[in-house]
Amino acid sequence: MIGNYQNETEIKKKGGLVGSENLLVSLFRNKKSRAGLIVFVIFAFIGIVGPFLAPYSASYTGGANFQPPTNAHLLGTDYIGHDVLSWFLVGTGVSLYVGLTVALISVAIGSIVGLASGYYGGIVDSALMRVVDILLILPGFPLLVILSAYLPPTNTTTILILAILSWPFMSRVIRSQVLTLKERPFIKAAVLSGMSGSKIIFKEIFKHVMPLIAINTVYLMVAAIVAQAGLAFFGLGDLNSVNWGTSLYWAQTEDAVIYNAWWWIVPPGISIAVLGIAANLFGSGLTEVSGEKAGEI
Amino acid sequence: MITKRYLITRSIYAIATTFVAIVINFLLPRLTPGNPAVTALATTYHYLPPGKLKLLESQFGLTNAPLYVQFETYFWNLLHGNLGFSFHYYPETVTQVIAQHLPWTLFLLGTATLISSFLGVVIGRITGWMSGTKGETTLSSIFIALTSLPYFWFAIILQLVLAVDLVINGFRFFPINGSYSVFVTPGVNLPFIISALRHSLLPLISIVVTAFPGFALTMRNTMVNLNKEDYITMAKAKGLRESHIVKKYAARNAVLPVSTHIVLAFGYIVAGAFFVEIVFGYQGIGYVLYEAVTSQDFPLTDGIFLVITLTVIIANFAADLLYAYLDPRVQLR
Amino acid sequence: MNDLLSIRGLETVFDTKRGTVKALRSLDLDIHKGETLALVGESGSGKSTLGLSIMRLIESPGRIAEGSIILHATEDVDVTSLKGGKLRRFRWKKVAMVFQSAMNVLNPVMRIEDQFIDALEAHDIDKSEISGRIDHYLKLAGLGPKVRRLYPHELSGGMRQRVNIALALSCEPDLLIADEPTTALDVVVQKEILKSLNTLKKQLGLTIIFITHDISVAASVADRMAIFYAGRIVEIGPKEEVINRPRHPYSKALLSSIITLNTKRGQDLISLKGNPPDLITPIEGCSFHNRCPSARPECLKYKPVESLVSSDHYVECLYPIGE
Repeated sequence: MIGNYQNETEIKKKGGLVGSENLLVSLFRNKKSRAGLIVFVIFAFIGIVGPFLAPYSASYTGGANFQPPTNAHLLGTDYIGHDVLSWFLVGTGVSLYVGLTVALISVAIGSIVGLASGYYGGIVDSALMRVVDILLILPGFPLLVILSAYLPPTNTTTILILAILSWPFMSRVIRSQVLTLKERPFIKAAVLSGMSGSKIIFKEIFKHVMPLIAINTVYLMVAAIVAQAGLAFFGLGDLNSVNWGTSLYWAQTEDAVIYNAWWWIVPPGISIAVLGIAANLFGSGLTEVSGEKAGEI
Repeated sequence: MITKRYLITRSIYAIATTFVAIVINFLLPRLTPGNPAVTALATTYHYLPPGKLKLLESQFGLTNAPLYVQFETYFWNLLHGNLGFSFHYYPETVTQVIAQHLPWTLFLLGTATLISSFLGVVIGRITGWMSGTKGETTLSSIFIALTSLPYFWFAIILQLVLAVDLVINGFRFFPINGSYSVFVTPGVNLPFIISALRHSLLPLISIVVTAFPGFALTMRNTMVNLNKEDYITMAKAKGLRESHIVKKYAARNAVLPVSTHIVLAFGYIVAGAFFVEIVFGYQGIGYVLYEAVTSQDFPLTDGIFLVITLTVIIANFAADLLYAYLDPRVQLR
Repeated sequence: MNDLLSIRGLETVFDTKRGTVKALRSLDLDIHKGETLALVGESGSGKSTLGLSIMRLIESPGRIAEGSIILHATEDVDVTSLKGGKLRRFRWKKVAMVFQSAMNVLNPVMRIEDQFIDALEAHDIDKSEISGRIDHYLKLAGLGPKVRRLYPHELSGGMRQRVNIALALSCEPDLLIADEPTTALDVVVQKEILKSLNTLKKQLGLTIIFITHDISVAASVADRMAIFYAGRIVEIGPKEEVINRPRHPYSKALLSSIITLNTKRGQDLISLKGNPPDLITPIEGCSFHNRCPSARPECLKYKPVESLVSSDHYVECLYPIGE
């Protein structure tokens, strides 16, 4: 803004660099990111202890078909008498596992490529980015379907395919952030002081890219959970696995709608939506927190 | 003005991506473990006459010839629009199956994209003005919640609530599934058109409701950021009319980020449309892909993959040219 | 009266979460017809806020809380009370502005000539006259007619600022406000632009308010100089007076920061410690007392008032230098 008063005063602010431990503390202090974190913790808890809490085993088929919620089956039963609650408790962990693994793999590859490409520039950058550009133009969904159609239907395959398709985007995001950081005085100073390239990347740049990586890990995790559910819904991937996606697949193929079996359809979808909202809350909280800090650098 | 250089780089990208897609399509059946022809035979296609394995293999172009010879044959066939026979719809060819079902999807996709981008831009502009008020924060939160809903799940819920349950005095407002009633004959006649439109309503609503909030949020953010731009202050300083500033300065500069978002989201809308088609048994290309995948109809899966990929690549290419025309700075990047 | 603009008791404030920031504290200023008045001060001293206040470009969370800005035209108008169409016709026609961010003030998706045309049309310039005017003012600013068909991104920073100057002159305003017009440019281009501005001023008899943090730039363009500190003018007078005989300790400190090249060994270089006061809490005594090298106990208690120290030279200090 032209001659804006706040801008003029901002220049005068001074301050140290942000340590990652401060970031965690501020994340808890911010209302939005705290709400997001709490939701994640609850789901992680269900994911880990869910199988032990489940009143029935996932293979139990003793209930009546399409039975609405009762005391014996708190979330009713499905088309062959599975206990829906038990399926949900067991499936949460699997869905979260798939989402988290995909996010971690693609964030790891994306960060390495993005950091190297952004920091070193030149031929490394051109070569990597041409590959990334082509992968980004290729529409993801059809590619996802055809790869899953040909490769063996296991959760590991799904994870690998999703990771391969997600890292290019991640590397683009990291790269552009590194390019801006490179122009900042403290990086220039580090270069002039003769610090080695890898040391600058890991000590200085990485610290400042961290918030961005955290946001995108969370977004990618939710996106991967949705994508896995979508693939399962398409009849792809491991249909014997118990997770949110396969629940919806069977609900669709076995006409849950016609039987008005809302108790079977609602839990997985609501969970995905709640995770999505939590990710958004966490993201905007993190932006607020790290944005404030960024102003002080 | 579009420079030659820009045109050439964008074309190279489009062609390179197309090539990569074709190579993936060619290599996948040849490199994956197991012979897809055998797999296909072993599963559902018991009715295929014996000795069909050879025929199936030739469907895939699976011969003992070296890979590059196979690729030549494959590429030649592709150029002639020859994608082989569908297993599931045998004796129809893949091209025929796609040609029959593509119009349904194009109608659904086109209408949904138009309505949701229009809604998104209009509502985003309003919330942009309201920015900071309580009403705006509430609306934005609702939009974020809506964008978090998985397409297919929202479609199922709509089907349950609006089609299955919403029956008043024996009258069902929305058909549960299908693309048109069994009592009409497809063709250019009024009963068919009305029936088809009625069947497309819920699928359309499903896509629009989950897609437009994203556009609205982008439009809102763009509007808010634009007001901080120096050239907007300059335009005010010049004593220009508010309406002129909005039209020639704000809207013109908002076009780029918003249309970028719409193009990026197009891929998601395509995927969303496919899921919605499955839920409502709407006979578009997405439903056919679902059938092809679940019945291991590999030629049809491959064919649909190619058609969708090419469509999206061409759409991206067109969008690139449009940006360059709208914002001359784009070509410098 | 030979004044073009009279500012009385102007208070421009910004409402922030921490409180109301008084960017201008009851400011008085007269601008003479045909002069170049340089406003000099650190960032945050209020000089840019004054420029934007005159243009009525202060926007929420900022507002003009009090005071008047009287433009002496055919009849006197209070700029602070202008609204709607009257405000529109005042901007650019009476007072035009050259902004600091030469890079970002031009609409990136419009050709240069279209950005002239909409301004000229908004001020009812005859259609037949428009094209000639664009060429004329581009030429005055040192640019050829080829520029007209180009987009902003096709111009260098210096050329863009020349376009901005031509644009600001195109409606033939009575007053031109130049807000750090050369700060974003490199030194060579900076000199050229300053030279053009000086020539234009002589040719067109312009009145210019030149806002800068760089006192040497101010010295090269100004007739009079006003030194800003914490939202007030602490010293104002003819350029030679202020430069050669600064009476306010702050002016002296500012001046000493630029004459390093000519400074003899052993000569005192006054460097300022501390920060300007927080403009949220009311200021007691002199706003400069905490940084002033010659502050006395009274400076903490009493607000200094403006006093005439020599012809047309005013200073706001209880103990001006040299008394």
